[in-house]
Amino acid sequence: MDMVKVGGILLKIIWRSFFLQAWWNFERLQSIGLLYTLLPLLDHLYKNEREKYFQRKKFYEEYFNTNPLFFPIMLGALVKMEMEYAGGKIKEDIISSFKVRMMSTLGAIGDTYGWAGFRPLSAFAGILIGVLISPVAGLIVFVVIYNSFSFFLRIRGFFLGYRYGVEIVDMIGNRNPYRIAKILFTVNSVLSASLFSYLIFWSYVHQFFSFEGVFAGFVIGLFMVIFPGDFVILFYYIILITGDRLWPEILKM
Amino acid sequence: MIESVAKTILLLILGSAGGVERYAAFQFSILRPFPASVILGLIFGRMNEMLVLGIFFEVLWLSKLPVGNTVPPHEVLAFFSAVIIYLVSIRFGIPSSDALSWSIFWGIVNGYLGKRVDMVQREINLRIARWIEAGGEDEELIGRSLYYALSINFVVHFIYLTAVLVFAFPLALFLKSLSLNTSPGLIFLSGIPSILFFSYLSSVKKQRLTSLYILTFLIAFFLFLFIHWLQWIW
Repeated sequence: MDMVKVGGILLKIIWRSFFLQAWWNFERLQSIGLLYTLLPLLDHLYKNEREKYFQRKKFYEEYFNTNPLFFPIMLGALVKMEMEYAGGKIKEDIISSFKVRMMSTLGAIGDTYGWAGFRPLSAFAGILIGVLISPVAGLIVFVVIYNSFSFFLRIRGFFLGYRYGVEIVDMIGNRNPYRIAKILFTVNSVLSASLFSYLIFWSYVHQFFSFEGVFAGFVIGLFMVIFPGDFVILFYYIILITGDRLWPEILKM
Repeated sequence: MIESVAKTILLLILGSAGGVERYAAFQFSILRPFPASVILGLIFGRMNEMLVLGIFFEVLWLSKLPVGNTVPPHEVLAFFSAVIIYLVSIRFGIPSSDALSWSIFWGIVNGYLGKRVDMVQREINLRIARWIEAGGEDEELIGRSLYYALSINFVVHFIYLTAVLVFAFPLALFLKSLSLNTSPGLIFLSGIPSILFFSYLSSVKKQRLTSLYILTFLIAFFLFLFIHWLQWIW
């Protein structure tokens, strides 16, 4: 295969992977996104076999849903496997079982790392820098932390998947991804707790402060733990707004 | 209008682009509430107020994850709606702290209404998917449908934020007629860190790190108090 042409197709696939969720819907989830991403490859591999091309398109139209940040790892492996399939080296069953197995595995890992790990980490680090040093520095820290993780997965992850193909399953299985996640959660807990305690001082410095407010915030926060849901905050608001004359009286009691 | 027509349109465009970027394309997180608050602070010149809104909506729903079919509250729409309501309210002479606390209130409501916007978008995406299917899933058709899906997504968010802007004027007039003093605003704003502390607790509880979280909060609190005391003595 022409290496320059393959390189161009791989870059096109990486670019298209940014739009995986553009057609997300409750019936077919990310399947059109996956198909759109793989179309340049299918077009290239089955240029002279139109029937096979439509058959492969049909294959990728099936239900598909995974974490968009970890998707490129799987995508790289799928590209490699599709090339091997076109060369008659592997059977369709292997790609099919790989797809089903990996989308749920990477979905779970991705939700843990991406949404519960790196997104809070970048938010807490960015906000802390933003209130301690300067807002613009906070913005840069936020965007750099989140996107260095995201781009690492999108580019390096894709080429890792492309290099290992189906063996990427063993590679992920042999490591314990949740050990790193645990470290990430610990860092997040420490950062977030420090941030929230600092914000109390920050509100004081910027004249957004009242002792009643901190006290009321704690009470309402405790209520939120007992009765999970944001309606508690809305209820709190109604009490505050309607009872702005009641508050001083209640606190005097 | 907020300050000027150009700035109002820029605000609506940024909010709509944030809505698209949040889920449908790229996901670079540049227009999530906290980074957007810094950008808007630079544009509108009220950095501290924008930061209060940005930090609140960035952290409030962090523990609500978009896992599987779950649709979490729309933090980007919530934040931009809150900014619009805040900026309109202060133009009507409402004190800044009151305007902030009211805009957070309506921001939370808009975050939940934003879930509906997400649902509508997914319904539109389903129709686009069926249209592609009917057209034989042709490559050119799929390519064209990407522009349709993203443009419709942008327009849906733009219309929503414009509606918030229109609604903000009678709302500000109504709030002004209440003639509140500044105490409720200040009380609520000081409660924000505590509310955020407890809202993130549910996430920490799942990870079994509650004791570390509470301990760090207490240590940091007394450390900051000590530093503040030292500064006062100095």
